[in-house]
Formats: sequence, C-alpha cells, structure tokens
Amino acid sequence: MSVAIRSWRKTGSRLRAQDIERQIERSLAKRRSVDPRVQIVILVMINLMATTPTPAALDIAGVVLAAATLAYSGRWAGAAKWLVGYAAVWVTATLCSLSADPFFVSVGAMLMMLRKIYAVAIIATTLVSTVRVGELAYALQRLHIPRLVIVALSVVLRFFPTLAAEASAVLAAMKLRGIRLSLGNILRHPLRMIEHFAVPLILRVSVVTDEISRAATVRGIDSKHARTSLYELKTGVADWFFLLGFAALTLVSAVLARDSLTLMGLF
Amino acid sequence: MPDLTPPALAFEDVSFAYGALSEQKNPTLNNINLRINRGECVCLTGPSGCGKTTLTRLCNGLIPSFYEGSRQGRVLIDGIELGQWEMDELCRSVGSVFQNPRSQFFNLDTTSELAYGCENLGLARAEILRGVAEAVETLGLQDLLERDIHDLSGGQRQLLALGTVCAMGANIFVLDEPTANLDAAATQAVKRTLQRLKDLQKTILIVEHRLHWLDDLVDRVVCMRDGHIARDWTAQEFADLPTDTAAGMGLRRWSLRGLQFESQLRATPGEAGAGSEDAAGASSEDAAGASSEDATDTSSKDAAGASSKNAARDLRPLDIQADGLRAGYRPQEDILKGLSFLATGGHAVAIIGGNGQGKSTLAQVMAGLIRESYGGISLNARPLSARSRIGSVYLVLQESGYQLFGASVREEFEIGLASPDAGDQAQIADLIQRFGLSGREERHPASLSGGEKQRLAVAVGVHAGARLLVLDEPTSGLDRANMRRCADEIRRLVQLGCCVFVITHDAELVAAACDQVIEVADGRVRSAYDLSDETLPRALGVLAPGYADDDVMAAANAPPREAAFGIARQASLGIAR
Repeated sequence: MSVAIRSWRKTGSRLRAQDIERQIERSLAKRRSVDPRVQIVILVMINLMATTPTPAALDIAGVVLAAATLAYSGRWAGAAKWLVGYAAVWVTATLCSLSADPFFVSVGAMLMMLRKIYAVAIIATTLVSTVRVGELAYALQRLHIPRLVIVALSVVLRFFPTLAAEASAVLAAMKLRGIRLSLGNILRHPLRMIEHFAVPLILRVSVVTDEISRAATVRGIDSKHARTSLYELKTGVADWFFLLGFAALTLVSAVLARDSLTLMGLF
Repeated sequence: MPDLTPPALAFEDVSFAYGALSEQKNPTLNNINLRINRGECVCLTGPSGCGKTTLTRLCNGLIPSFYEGSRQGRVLIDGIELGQWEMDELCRSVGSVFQNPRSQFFNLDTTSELAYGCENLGLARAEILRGVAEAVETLGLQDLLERDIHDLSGGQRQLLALGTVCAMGANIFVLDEPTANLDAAATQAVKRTLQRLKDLQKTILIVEHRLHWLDDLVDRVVCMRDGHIARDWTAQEFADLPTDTAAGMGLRRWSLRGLQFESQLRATPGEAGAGSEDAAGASSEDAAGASSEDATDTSSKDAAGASSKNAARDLRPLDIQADGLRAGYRPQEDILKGLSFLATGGHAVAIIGGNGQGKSTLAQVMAGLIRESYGGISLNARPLSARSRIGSVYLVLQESGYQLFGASVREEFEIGLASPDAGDQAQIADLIQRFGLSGREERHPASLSGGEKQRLAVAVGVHAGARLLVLDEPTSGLDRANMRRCADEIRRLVQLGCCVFVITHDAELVAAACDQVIEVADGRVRSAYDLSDETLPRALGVLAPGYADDDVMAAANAPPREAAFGIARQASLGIAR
C-alpha cells in the first residue's frame, strides 16, 4: 500500500495536484456574488437611506434593487420570498392606515417602520449568505481596514455560534441538576440564577476562547506579513451597476430629506 | 558514517516551568533529552499532567509566543534553536492539530479553511492554491472540498485540520490527542491519513492515551512521567512488553488482543442488595491492584452495609424499558428511529456504536433533555414523561465539571433536586467518602481534578435519588489510572443498586466495568447481549474494528445473537429471563 502511494506520487502526483488546483479554481469561479466591498458600501448607503424620510416610490426602488442584488448571487428563490414579504407588509400597512381603530393604527405605524428597514435586512442577508468569511476579510483588507480589526472581526464572527452553543450546554446542565431558569426563579433568586448560569458560561467560554486563540496562533494569525487571500476580487459591470444604482437612490433621498428639512425651516 | 541531517526535533537538557524555574521544586519539564529524526513517527504518552502537552508547545512555538515561562536547555527544530525561529516560519514548518474539533476552525466552508493558514502568512495566491491542492491530493481530501464545516463529522474535521497545516507546508506534525473524541471508523481514517504523511517522510509526534490504534503506525513510544522522559521504546520493544509492565507505568493497552472481560458484577435481578456485597469485595481487590492512589476504601464491610442502608430507599430491582423511541431535531430526520430495550438494575450496560448512530441522543432523551416524539421510557413499568425523568435518570456529561454549580463540594449536594432526605448529612458524608472525595468537602468544585469532578457529579446524582445513571464518554482523554478509577466508580454505582448506562468508544473501559452491551446502529438497537469472554470479541469488533484478531472480526460480523437481557429489535418487548 505504502509503496504504491510513493511510486504513484513520483509520476503522477504533480499532475493530479494541478487537476485539483483547476477544480478549486473552477468552483471558485462558479461562485457569483456582488463584490463584497461593493456590498459593504451598499450596506452603509442603505442604512443612511433608512434614516431619512423618503417617499414610498424610493423605498420600493431600494427593496427591488436589494432583491436584485440577492438574485444576482443566484438566490432567486430567496429574492422572490423577500419581495412577496414586502408586498404583504405594504398591503397590511395600507389596510391598517384605513382603519380608525387605535390598535390597527399602531400596527400600521409599526409596519411602516418595517418598510423602511426592509431593504437593509435584504442587503445584510445577502452579505451574510453569499460572502464567505475569507472573502469578507479580504474585502476589508482591500478597503485598508487594519489587520487587527479584521482579525478581531473574524474571531468575533466565530465567537457568536460558540457562545450560543455553550449557553445551551449550560442550560442543559442546569436542567440536569434540576435548576430551572424560569421566570419565577429569576424573580425570586436573581443572584443565584446569575451565579448558576453566568459563572459556568464564562468559565466555558474562556476555555473555548483559549483553544481558539491557540489554534489561531499556530495558523499564523500574528504574522507580520500583509494577509493575502485565496479569493480574487474583481469589480465587474454588475458590481458597478448595483453600486451606482444604490448611490443614486441614496443621493435622491438625501436631497429630498434636505428639502423637507428646509421646508420645516431647519436649513 | 555519521548522519549529517539534523533531527527534526531535538531536546537537549530542556527544563521548563510556566513561572520562574528557580522558584519551583517540580518544573513542568525536567531535564528532557529527546531526538526525533526526520520521517519518524513517535507516540508520546504518560499519565495526565506529566508534561506531554507542554513538550508539544515547545515544538510548535506556543511557548514562548502564547505561554510565558522560563526555559533551560536547547530545543532544536530542524536543527535551529527555537528562539531563533521566526514565528511565521515555525507555523509553516510545524503543523499542529488539537484535540477538540470545535475550536480549530475560523471559516464556515472547507475550502477557505484549507487556505486560512496560508492567507495569514501572506503567501501569494498561486502559492496558496498550490498548497491547498497538494494538501488535498496528499491526504485524499477531494470529498471535503467546498463543504460546509457544520456538516462534517468529528473525524472529517480532524482531517480538515490536518489539511490546513499540510497546505501551509508543514514537515513536522504535532498532534495532541487527535482522536480523543472520535469513534473507531474516524480514528481509522485519521490513521490512514497519518500513514500517507509518514510515507512522504514527514515527521509525526502524536500525544495519546489510547494507544491501540497506533500499533502499526508509530516507530517509537516515549513515556513521560513527572516532567521527565521515563522510557523510550521502539514500537517492537513496546509491543513485546508484558501488559502488566505497561499497565504498571500507567499506560493503556498497545493491543486489544488478550483484553479480558473483567466485570465481576453479576448481580442477579431481584437480589441487587445481596449481590452488591460480593461485588464490593471483588471490585475493591481490583481497585487496590489498579490504582493505588485511589484513597477510597470500598472494601470495608461497614461501608457496604451502610451503603445498602442509605441507598436502600428502594432496592427493588429497577426495570428500565424503552419502547419504540423516536426523537431528533426537527425538521431533520429523526435520529432515534424506534429504539427499544429492556434493562435491569444492578448492571452496567455499555452503549456502543459509531458516531452519529444515536447514542448521545439516546442519553439526552433518557435524561429528559430532549422529548421523544414517539414511544416512551418506563421505570419499573411506570411510564415517565421527559420532564419527570429529570431526577430519576441522571446524565453525567463528558465534561462533568460543567454540571457542578455549588461553591463547595458539600454545598453541591444541596443544590437543585431535593430528595426527601436532601439534608441528610450522614448520607452526604457517606457519599463523599465512597466516591473518594474525603478531605475535599470545603473545596470549590472548579478546583478539583477532572476525575474528582466526575466523581462528584456522579455522587450528586445518586444523592438526588437517581437510580439510572447515564455516563456520556466518561473516559475520553483519560489516562489509564483515571480510566480504572472510572471503572471502579461504575462498579460502586452498581453496588448501590443503580443501573448504569455507559456511552463509550473505550474498549478497555467496557471490558473493565460493563457486563452488558447494547449496540446502537442507525437509531435502533442492533443487538443486546450479556458481556462474557465469549461475547467480548463481538463488542470489540464494534469498538475497534481493524485492531482485533481475525477471529474476533469474524465473530463481530456474525449475525447478532439474541439478546440475553432484553429483546431489542422489535417494538414489542419481551421479558428475556
């Protein structure tokens, strides 16, 4: 067995490694998504937009463009679901605004808020679901964000699932010992509940954090060299289209916002 | 002719302490001299706390870049002093794989993870791509490309970690208990991969307690004790050692050949109380022979008498019946797919089977952490809902320290489930003594050793009135002495009339402590049988395929024998005896 592997390596291995290299290149090329840098910029812009008073048409345009961003990454079904959801929010909000009942009025107002931040949610989802951690790190690098921030960010992203897993493990252990984290217990023995939940959680998390840091150290996280990436960032026509599209929307909403503020006599 | 190539790793009179060396009487490493040549595969073993892991940290640069301390002597890696290595270069030359797959990854997909180390070191993209491709080719990881790491098994994750360091170009591989959390099949996969690296003349240093999977992989076995190198054998010398000699040095078995069924429990159902005294005598002899450090004295007739009085709240034999259990994590497919068994108190039942077959889910269902979607569990013919099982069934977690919440050992007994006599100081004192915790009553549980935490967690469950205890992988990562102690602890529980279920991959533990076996496969009970010298090989066939004799394998592949103590496969249960 071992002899076979060795001789096979001598003749064919270089070739096979090249095959694998091509295979990796192919599968990376197949991944189509909007340039992560563009997505980050879009996310910032759309957040700005959500903070300004905008006419409905502009909101709708933002949501449609955001859904298009998601669809462009191959998530047609997801994009369609977001759009259907948006239509449902619109219809319900409109119906509520027709009512005189204070309950429906307040629900309607809430849905109006939801309408404003809907596009933000779509873009955030797109970023999380279509951009890999490695790509995101590289995008931030190319945006000249300091290495320390990027490293911290990638560890933080890694940390949340860990925290969730550890918290559920502590809850299970409490349950095994007959300690219930019920509302009654929290009210009656707040300190004891904190002690029984938070102390073991912190202990656990510190152990795991230690393990992660050790693993990161031997994977070269402290290197003095600038980080590189397996991924390549190329800004194409589609990226420019989305970037300019959102920029236009943001600009229009900013101008409108200024006008409306001027009307109110603030400028 | 002298060999001019420097050894891959060389320790010359190395002493190390995490604080200042001069202040400590017992430094963590004490005058280590060790040479590991290029292309050699060495297993480093020895009792817990002997300094094995510290030694690996000197190889991969975690000392001094992550841990501070003071060192004397020279550590040469590829002939260059540790202090002169650039950390970047050291990361590339020495690849490290750790025990726990949960905390080694930084990406969500496998391809990025393979490239991660190279990216950190700032290699050019073409170089990263080549490194990843070569690692994939060398280790045969084609199936792992472009996968979600979440979907990988523990074994696949360890292979991925090996791939990452391989892509960085490692020549020396340092693995700290890489298979502690893996089942037999995954361990075999790791072994095959290491064999490939060895064939490429890579140097491999493996820290391990469980030795039997290494027997035709490693060239040398180095045993450490109290910070120094106690022995250095070639694999052949080690294989030829009488089992007792290795055991005397606190080492686990090299080969499962000749492993014998030890359990003397054999309490007849209905006479759990009477049987327990015999068991007490038998196990204490064993305990004395196996672990001299264990201070508990279970041999005294008084203790046994007191125990049956204390635990005698209910000495009727315990019948545990699981009937057609289905459970899982919706919306995924059920993990338990109609699992049934019948077991009785006064036995230690090993639950064995590969990873992902449903063993842990079964434990969580039994303990009431997960509710079954169909079927049920009854104790003494009384069906118990998931909620009411909490307390009657007690699960001891793999990391049992996390189920301790008290500020002291004594206080631990007063938390949570209050049994009618929760404040019974005599019973608490008895349990503290029986489980080897005397003198530690006022200590904080977090300050106890791993084995002590485990014993405390068990004692607390007994105190709370649990009569069925489920131990989840109690000996993963334990050295021989602690494994033996755990076996004693299981016997002690059986003496108390409890039924003990042990979920385990540890063949040595099964042979030492269990007397019945339930094989779980694909969410059902594949077979169930009494353990004896005749049936032990069958269990070994599941626990360690490939390591046992041919005739053992033949026995394992034989059709399942009818269960002696429970009829397992049908949803309708029969009474076996």
